[in-house]
Amino acid sequence: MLVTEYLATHPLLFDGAMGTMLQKNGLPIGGQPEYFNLSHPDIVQKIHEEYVQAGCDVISTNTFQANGTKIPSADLPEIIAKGVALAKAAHPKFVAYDMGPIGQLLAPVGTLSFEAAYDYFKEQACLAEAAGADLILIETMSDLFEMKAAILAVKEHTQLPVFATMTFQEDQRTFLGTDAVTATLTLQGLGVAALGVNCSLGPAALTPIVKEMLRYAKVPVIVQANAGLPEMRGETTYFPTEVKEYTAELQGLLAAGIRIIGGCCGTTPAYIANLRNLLDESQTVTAVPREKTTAITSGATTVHLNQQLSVIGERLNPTGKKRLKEAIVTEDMTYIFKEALQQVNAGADILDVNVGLPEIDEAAMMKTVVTGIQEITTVPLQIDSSSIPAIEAGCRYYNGKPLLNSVNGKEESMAAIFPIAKKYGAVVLGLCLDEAGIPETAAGRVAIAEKIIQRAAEYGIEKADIMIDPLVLTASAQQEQVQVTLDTLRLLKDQLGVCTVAGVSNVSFGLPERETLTSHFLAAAVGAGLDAPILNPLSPIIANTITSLKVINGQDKEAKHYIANSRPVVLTEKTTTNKADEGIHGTLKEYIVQGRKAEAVDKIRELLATLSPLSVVNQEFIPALDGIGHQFEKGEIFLPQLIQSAESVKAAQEVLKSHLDGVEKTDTSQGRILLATVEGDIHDIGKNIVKMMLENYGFDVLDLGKDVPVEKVVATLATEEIRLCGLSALMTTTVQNMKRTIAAVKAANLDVTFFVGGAVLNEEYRAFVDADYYAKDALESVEIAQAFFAEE
Amino acid sequence: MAIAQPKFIYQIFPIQVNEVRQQIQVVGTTFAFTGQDAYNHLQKAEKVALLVTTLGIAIEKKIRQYEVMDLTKALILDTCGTAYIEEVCNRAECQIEADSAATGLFLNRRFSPGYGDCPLSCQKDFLTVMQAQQRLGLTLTESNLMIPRKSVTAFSGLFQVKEDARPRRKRLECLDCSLNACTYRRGGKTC
Repeated sequence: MLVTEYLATHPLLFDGAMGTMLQKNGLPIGGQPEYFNLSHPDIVQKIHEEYVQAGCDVISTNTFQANGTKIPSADLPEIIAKGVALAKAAHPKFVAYDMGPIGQLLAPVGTLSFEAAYDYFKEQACLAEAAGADLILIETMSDLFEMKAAILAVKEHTQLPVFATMTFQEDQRTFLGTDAVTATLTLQGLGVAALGVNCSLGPAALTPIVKEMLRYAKVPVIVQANAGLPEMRGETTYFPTEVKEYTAELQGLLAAGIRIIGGCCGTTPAYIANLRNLLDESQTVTAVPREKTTAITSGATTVHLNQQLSVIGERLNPTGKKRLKEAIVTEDMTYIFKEALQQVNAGADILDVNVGLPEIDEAAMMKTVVTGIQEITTVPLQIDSSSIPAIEAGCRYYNGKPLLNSVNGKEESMAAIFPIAKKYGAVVLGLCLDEAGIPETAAGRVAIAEKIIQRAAEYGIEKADIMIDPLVLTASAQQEQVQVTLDTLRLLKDQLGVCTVAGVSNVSFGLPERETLTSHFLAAAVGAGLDAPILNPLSPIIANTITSLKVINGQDKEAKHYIANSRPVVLTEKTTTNKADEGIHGTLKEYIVQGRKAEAVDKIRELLATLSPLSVVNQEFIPALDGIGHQFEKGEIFLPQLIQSAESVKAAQEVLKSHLDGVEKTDTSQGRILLATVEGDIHDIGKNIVKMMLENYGFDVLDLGKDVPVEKVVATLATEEIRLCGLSALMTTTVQNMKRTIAAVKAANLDVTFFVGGAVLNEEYRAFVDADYYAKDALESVEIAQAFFAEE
Repeated sequence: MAIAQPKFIYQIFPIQVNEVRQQIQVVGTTFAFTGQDAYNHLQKAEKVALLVTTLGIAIEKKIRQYEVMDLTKALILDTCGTAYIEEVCNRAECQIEADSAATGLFLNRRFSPGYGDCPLSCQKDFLTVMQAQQRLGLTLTESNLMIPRKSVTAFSGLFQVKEDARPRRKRLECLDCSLNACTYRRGGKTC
């Protein structure tokens, strides 16, 4: 009988701890338990047998970290095969292959790539299936993203069911910040057979976390707690929760609806024997009603779209945005991230991500942008593309349960999109159009919505995971259709009870004072049943409408947010005129020296009315920068002041850039420079300061970011034909990779001059890594670059 | 989530001095200190206290946000994080001292992998012995960098005789730090 079949009618009892049991049997602290399968098979088998005698149904193999980073690949087949064989030899009902975290954190927070993690899990899962395991238990995970890599690896390479448990702290989150509901929605979206918690805390402390999981879990919930939080008593580790208390707590959780129990660190066969009695005495399985929700998550937040008005920020879409388009093509991630964060700070609950440009590899860019944005914010994302590979890449490298934009009523679209939505557990956004176009009646649009919902069900996607977009047409072209959209929203709510989403800005296209019309339409649409408008949260007028609507629908309790954020909006006058009245009396140079970013931006706008961009650079930027540079060198000002001035220049340069977009493009670049923080190193603040200073002085910087593979530096230098390259490393260990990078570039016969910097760098290390210059700070980097391009 | 979630764990182990191999074996574990500096530091000690501290992962996200929006704040928050984690170490050390005093032992100055000739490569075993991933969420990259970045591993010797507990506990000096280019460096040449 398959474990999933058995589970349908029975509760399931796992075994207890292995690690702490092995330590009692002679495993030294820090020793690798997996090698005991080979060196002390008798001990491992004896522990398994004790648990089976105590009455457990499932034995977990002694393979917690039998992965390629901890154990040489050559040893893995034997250790894993033996691990499964020893578990089978104890004759349990089922054998679970036990798979723990790899031990390194995934990029971009850490340095292990998603693909590498996936491969380590795949290797184990295949060996486990070949050895005859009945299921894979992925456990003690803190990182939802790593968990996703593991689940995909198992499901894409084996037939085995996956049980997935994460480990939570006293703040009811994992170390990486995932909460119980986010974990539940994401894991079941990925198709696990059971999910739950293990390790870290005792059962009492885990109870509130488990109850949150039970609210939304459609698959059985597992609890394998520690025998309490370990305490140090003298030189020994002590687990405070005794058998009796452990059993009593689990009794309560079984009554609350969990289906699978067992133990983790500190538990023994005695704990399992008591749990067996408990299960035998209370034969009934408690069925708990699940709350249905239309929700998406990031790695650390869940947004329940059916429970609130949610704003989807629309700005990360290059259509009609020159500057963003340029940023996507040149992979200027800082600009893209800034667009993302500004929307979050302005109140976006979800960000739409669309990087669709014909000249780039959209799927690769989608992966880069999605992972990058998820590193800096916890707001969930909407993966938006008309390219199927880009949609799939976005969903695959997304940490959480994504929102997929979009499917429509065309057979071709549904056949391509629904399998992806199902596989990654996405909420999918369905557009009310099909082969015949957009119906002109509300009834026609609702009929398409119904078709989408029905067809999705055939793929196993429930209605709660669908949102319908009634489509918003422009008032200037098809005025009568604006009302149709509102009518459709009402019908979608009344007849289908489905969550709704719509891009409201479209209504005002081609008309003056767009934000006014858009914001009024927004209010009407929300009144008609719109749950999630896609809009520009940076517009003060639209933002005010949202703030007001949240008071009206009761979401903003006691109007607290409304009161705290109330701001007057001037509808007709430009805000810059208002500021001019307050007076900008200083010079641009002064604002830069004082690091007054906002004033510098206003001042340069004023100057550009009369001066050419080049004279602004020469008369204002350069003297100001030289002045503060001089003060910095003399020790009159310090790094924070220097950076603030540099940031003011940078902000002013953005104005200059958009000004240049309007007029003829002149090449003002002082030369191109590649910057990278070397492979293995993730400390890049210093490099970012250098980048800003170089850009201040007019150099064109291509920034490859942090932890940049050696090959990527070589390839970029070659294809971009860049001749000056700055590398940074913070640690002595990563200085080695700096040396490797430079050696690889030289081996490729590229004529490149290198300057290097970073905390541990000095003249000696410069010689060691074979670089041309050592730059002790950002200003020296500028001097090096100036000298280099002067000689050219 | 709070930006800083300071946590520490420590554990006291007996040690065995291996004079031939110039190593300090941490008894009951697979871990041994190599290098002359750690050897000198612990040679006369009875026991060793292993300490692991971290501020957690949330501060990383905040620093990265500031790197995008306001680099000055990124630099300052990053620096605050460094100062904070040192303070967490100081507090933890006080607790270790209290534990040691209860058993009549004296503490010398704390020392960290990466100082002197104590190799960073010992981080792997150090963290495994302390179960730092399970207990603190601490991970190590291929290049032996700890993530979360604002984390410290350190050890102190526990001595029977107060006079042997050297170097004495005191504040770190500029010369112990590897940031040679620091503007504020005191008491020695800057490179």
